[in-house]
Amino acid sequence: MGDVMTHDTIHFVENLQKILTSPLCLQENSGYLDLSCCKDIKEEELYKQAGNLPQYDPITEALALILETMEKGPFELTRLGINELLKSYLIQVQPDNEEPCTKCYFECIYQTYLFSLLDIYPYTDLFWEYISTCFDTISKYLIMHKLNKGCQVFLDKISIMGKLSAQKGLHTSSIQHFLHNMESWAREEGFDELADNAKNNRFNLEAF
Amino acid sequence: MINSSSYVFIILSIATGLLTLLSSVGIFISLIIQRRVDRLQEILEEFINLSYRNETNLTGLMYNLIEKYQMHYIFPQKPLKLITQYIDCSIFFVSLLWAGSLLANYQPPFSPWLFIQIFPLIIGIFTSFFFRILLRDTINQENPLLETIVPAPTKLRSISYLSHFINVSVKSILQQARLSLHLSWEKDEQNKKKINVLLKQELSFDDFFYFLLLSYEEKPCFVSFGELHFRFPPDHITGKPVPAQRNINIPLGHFHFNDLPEKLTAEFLVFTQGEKYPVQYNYQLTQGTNFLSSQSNPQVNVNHQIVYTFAKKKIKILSCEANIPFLKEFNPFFYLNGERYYINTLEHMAPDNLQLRTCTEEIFID
Repeated sequence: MGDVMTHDTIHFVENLQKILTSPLCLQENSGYLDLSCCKDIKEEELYKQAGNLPQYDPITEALALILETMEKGPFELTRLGINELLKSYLIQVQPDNEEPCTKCYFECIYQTYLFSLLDIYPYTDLFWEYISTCFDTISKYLIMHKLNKGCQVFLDKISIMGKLSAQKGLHTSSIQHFLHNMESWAREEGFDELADNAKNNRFNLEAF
Repeated sequence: MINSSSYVFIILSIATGLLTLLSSVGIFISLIIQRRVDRLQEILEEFINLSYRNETNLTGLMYNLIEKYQMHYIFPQKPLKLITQYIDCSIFFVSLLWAGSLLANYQPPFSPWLFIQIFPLIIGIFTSFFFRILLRDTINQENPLLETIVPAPTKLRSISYLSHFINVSVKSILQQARLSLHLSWEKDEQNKKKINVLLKQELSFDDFFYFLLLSYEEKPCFVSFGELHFRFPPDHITGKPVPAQRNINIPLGHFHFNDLPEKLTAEFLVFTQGEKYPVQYNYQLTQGTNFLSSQSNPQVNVNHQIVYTFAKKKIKILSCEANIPFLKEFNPFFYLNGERYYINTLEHMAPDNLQLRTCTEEIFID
């Protein structure tokens, strides 16, 4: 960080890909003390862990780059950034890490989404339309690879975004469509609970 | 004992008193009605204003407004009954007192003059009954007196009403309904493969005529047309009225196909009362696992090449320069009777032997 933002799409994507190939930090007990995660701490523990550093998180760095493009750059760079992030998610998500991995990636997507809702952000519609069409592909991939727990986390996050969008007056037809497709795919693959959740979310999308 | 000659006057003044009370009830009712009409018209106006903003998503807002309108529209049943009972009692009692006072002054023998003498009494009783009907109509919902200024809540979902009377843009209203097509594939009783055609609406707008043509590689394979009219009974558990619904699925018929086609194109026309050009939707349906649906938003535009008019419960196409097969051929069957017709044997179709089927499947929510 700190360098001048590049507008070269190839360079930008290369840079992102390089960052996103580093291993994720998903383990809870990395030695770094997080006050929100432990209820009571002993004094000696506090002193002992005072110098510990958090793990390197490639996603945060990628997120910072994407947010920077949203602030300054053309929409194309943001689009590529989001695409890279989501692709790297599909590469990283595995049956043994599906829940934390999904959570971690979609926290980032959610942050970019929140940024896109700002009044000063001019491409809100483009951004929303783009990510909602990506969701369709992601959900299909997750269901076909039987990552239903990850898909549940994904669904929860998406429905929060969908609901917020409906309140802000953004079009939700692609989200409705996505939820409907997801329901049919999940039902075909035998994930009835996931299908029911998708249906429930679809019915509640615009109920406010 | 009260002096009998002044007793009649007392009785008459009681009757006058009762009538005064009754008229003040009339004023009271009209005050309530006025407030109610004000509220309803405010909501109606908000609803109409919404329909001009077609760039944003208003489906949720529109649904909420219809619900809100419904809430103000209904009068609570209990006071309604009480008021009607009060009006009935007063009128009955006043008539009795009038008749009684006439009877008290009746002196035999009988003469034809009597009929002329009781004529004012008959007029009085008649007028009070008219007054009763008027008041009852004013407080009752769905009365012809107020219908023109405050329509029933179900009218807010009627495209024809909205376009005919209020002149809003049909296209932007329909955009909020988000019409889409969903084709699912299954095997029927004779193990033949059939494709069911469903029209999905996210907000139930009805009262329009549609024409749907599905084609596979430019060859038409299915035609459906008819009028859409919804009837939503009150909720059977809570008893609440249902002016509009969400996530409506309308079966439009089915057709046989060897396999689930990978791609289909669909043309969907919407004819509404109060317009002369239909709204046209173009869908590109692509394959999911065992269904077909449109992945992207459909192209919606007003087709100026087709001119139609509503005539005697039928739609008449006056001119058609658009290249939509079967639109002209089937025009004689465009009845406005709330039925959905379909034809799935287009290949062996002879004009004199048309196999017009009616879709009897119920509309459902999913």
